[in-house]
Amino acid sequence: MSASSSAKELNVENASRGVWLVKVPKYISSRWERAPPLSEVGRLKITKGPGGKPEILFDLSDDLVAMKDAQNSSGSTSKDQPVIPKAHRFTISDISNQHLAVFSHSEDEKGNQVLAVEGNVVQKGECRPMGDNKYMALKKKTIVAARQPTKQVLQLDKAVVNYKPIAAHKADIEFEQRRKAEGKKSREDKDKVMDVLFAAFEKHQYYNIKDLERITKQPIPYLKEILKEICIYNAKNPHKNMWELKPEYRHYTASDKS
Amino acid sequence: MSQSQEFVVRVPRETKKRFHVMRFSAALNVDVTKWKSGRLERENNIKEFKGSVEEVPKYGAGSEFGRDMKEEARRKKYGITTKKYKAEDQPWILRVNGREGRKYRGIREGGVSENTSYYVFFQAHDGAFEAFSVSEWYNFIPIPKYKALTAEEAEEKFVKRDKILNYFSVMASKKKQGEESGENIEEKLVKKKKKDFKVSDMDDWNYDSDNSGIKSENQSDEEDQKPKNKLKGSNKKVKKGKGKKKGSDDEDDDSEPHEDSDEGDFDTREVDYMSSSSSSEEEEVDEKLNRELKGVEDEDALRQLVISDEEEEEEENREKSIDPNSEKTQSEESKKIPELDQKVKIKQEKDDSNSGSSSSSEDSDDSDFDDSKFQSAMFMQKKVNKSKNGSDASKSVTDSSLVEEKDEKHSKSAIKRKLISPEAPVSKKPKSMDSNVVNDGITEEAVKRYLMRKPMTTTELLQKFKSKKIPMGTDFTTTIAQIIKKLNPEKQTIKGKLYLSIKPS
Repeated sequence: MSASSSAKELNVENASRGVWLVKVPKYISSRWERAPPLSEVGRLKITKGPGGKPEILFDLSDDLVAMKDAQNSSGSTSKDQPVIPKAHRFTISDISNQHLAVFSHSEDEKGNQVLAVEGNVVQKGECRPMGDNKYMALKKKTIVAARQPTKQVLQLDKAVVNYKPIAAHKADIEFEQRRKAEGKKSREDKDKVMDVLFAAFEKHQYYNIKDLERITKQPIPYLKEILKEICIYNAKNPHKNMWELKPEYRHYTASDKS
Repeated sequence: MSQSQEFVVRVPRETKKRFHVMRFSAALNVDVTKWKSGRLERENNIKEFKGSVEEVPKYGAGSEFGRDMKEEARRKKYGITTKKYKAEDQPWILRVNGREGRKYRGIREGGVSENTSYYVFFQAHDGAFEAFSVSEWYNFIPIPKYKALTAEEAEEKFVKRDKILNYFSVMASKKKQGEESGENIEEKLVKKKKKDFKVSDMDDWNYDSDNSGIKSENQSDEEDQKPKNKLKGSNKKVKKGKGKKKGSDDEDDDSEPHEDSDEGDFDTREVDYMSSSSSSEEEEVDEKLNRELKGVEDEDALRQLVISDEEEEEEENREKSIDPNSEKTQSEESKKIPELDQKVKIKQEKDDSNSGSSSSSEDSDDSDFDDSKFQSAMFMQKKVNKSKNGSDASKSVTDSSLVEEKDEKHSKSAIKRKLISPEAPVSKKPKSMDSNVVNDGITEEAVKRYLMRKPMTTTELLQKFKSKKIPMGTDFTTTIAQIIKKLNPEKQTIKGKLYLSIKPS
C-alpha cells in the first residue's frame, strides 16, 4: 500500500485485531523507553481464579528494577535513588461507554505518509503497583521531591555580570563586510537597467524604490531618473510610496486599477 | 487449582511508527472491525486559520513586491507575532466505507498522558506481548451530513416550536425543500415573473377597493365629467358581465375561446404596470384599463368600481382629500417609460370597443337580477359581445405567443379569482347599484352570491357589508336577516358556528 501523501488511504487490514491498551506509571514507562530493544521488560501472569475472574499480575524484570532513573543517574547520589516496586496488578477497566481503536502513522522510504488501523482495543488495563512499603517509600520520595521549590535563594559573593557592552556586534560587522565587498553602485547602461525593471514589473505591479534599488543595483538618483520616464509614483494609499509602470508599458489590462 | 499462563512482555524499539488512539463515543455504534475502507487525512483549515485576510494577488497585476514580508515586519514592530500554520497539528478527518460512509473529525485530546503513559499491547506470533507507547489520543466526533440552520431559520423554527411534532424530520424536510426549490426554480422562473407582478397588483387593488374607488375619484377631478361617466358606465357594464360570469359559472370556466381577449387585456395591463403613466391624460387611460382588468380578474374590483363611480364619487372626494392615491400616482409618474404613447393608443381603442358592447348590456341589467339562471345566461351573452370586441383589441396588442399561452394563464387567473374573492369584502353593493333595485347596497342578489361562493357565518356576512359604503341610517342587519330568511340557505354547523350556504343552481 503505497499511498501517496495526498490520497490518505487508511489501511484497515488489521482492524479486527484485538489489542490491549495499558495505562502504565511514569516510572515504568521511563525505564521501558531506555530498555534495550526487544529485551524482556517483564512477565505477565494470567491466572484464572476460582470465581472465573482472571487475575493478571505483572512483574517487572530485575534489570529494569535495578535501572536508575534518568535524572538521578547523573545528578544525586545513588543512595537517594528510590526503589521501584516489582510486582504490579493489572486491573481491567470498563470501556463500554466508548469505542477505542489504535491507528499508526508512519512514513515509508519515499517519505509518504502511511496510515493504518492497528487494531481495536478489546481491553483497557491499568498497571497498578501493589500498595506495599516499597511503593509507599517511592511515593514519599516523589512527594518530597515535588515539594522542593524550583527557585531557591542563593547568596552571592560578588556581582554577576550578565551583559557586557560590545562595540561592534557580529551582525553589524558582517553587514559592513558585505557592503564593502559590493563596493559602490555604478551607473549602468540605461537600456539594461530598463530591461531589468521591466522584467521586475512583469512579476509584480507595485514596487518600492528600495526594492528596485536592490534588484537593479543602481544608485537611487539614477534609478529615479529612469523610473520617472516609465513609471508612475503612487503618493496615496493603497500602494503608497510605490512605483508602477505607466499604462502604455503594461502587459496586462488595467482592469482593476485601484 | 488455578491454571495460569505467563507471557513475556517486550518493548520493541519503534522509532518510525507512531501510535495513536482513536476514541469514539459508544453512542455512535462504531465498530472498527467492520470497516471495509477508510480515508484519514488532516483537515485543511488554512482558510479559517488565516481568517478574513483580503485577497491580494500574489503576482501580476495588482500585486506588490514583498508585501507579505513587509506586513510581517510591520506587525513585529507592534509586537504581534503570528503563529505559523502547521498542517500536522490539524484535526483528522476520517471517512469510513467510501463516499457514502460517515465522516468523523478527530480532535487531539490533551493532558491524557500528562501523569501516566499508555501502551498498546500486541500479541506477537510467539505469544509474547509487544508494547508500543501511545503518543496521542484523538477523540472522533461525527460530522453531521445536514447543514445546520442559520440564525434566521432557527428563529423561524423556534417560533413554530410547539407546532412541530416530529423533530426528527426537521432537517430532512429542509433538505428536501432545498432540492425541490432547486429543481423548480427554472421552471417557475418564466411564469413567476409575470405572476409576481400580478399578485402585487392585486394586493394594491384590494387595498384600494377597501378605500373604495380612490382612483376614479381622482380621475373625476381631473377629467371632464360627462364623457368620462359615459365611458365608465360602459366599462362597468362590461366588467360586470364578466364578473357575474365568474361568480355564476366558476366551474364551467373551461374557457371559451373568447376568453382570449381577457388574457390579452391582462398582458397589456402588465406592461402598463411596468410603464405606468405620468401625464394626467395617460393616467386616465391607464386607470380605465386597470379598472377593466380588475373586472376581468375579480368581481370585487368591478363592484368596487361601480360603487365608486356612481354613488360615492362626489361624497368620497371630499373625504379623501388625503388619499393614498396621490402617493400612488406620484410613484406611477416616476416610473414613466417612453413606450407609453403606443400603449395609450391601444387602450383607447379598447375603450371604444368596450363602450360599444356596454350599450347593449345596459338595458338588460335592470330587470333580470333576481333570477340567477337568467342572469348567467345574460352574462354569457355579454361576455360574447364583449370578448369579441375585446379580443380584437387585445390581439392587436399581444402577439400570437401570448394567445398560445392563454390556456395556462386562464386557469391561473381563475385560481386567483377564487383566492381573492372571499377575502375581498367589497363585492355586495355594485350590483344593486346597477340594477337600481335597492339603494342601500344590500340586495338579495349580493347575499346570494356570497353564500353561493362559500359557506359563511352571519357575522362574516355582516362584515362584508359593513366594509361597503352604506348610507347611514339603514339598519342593514335586519335587512340581511330578511334576505336570508327569504333565500332560506342550507345551514351547517362547523366548529360550533352556523354556516350558511347556497348550492349554485
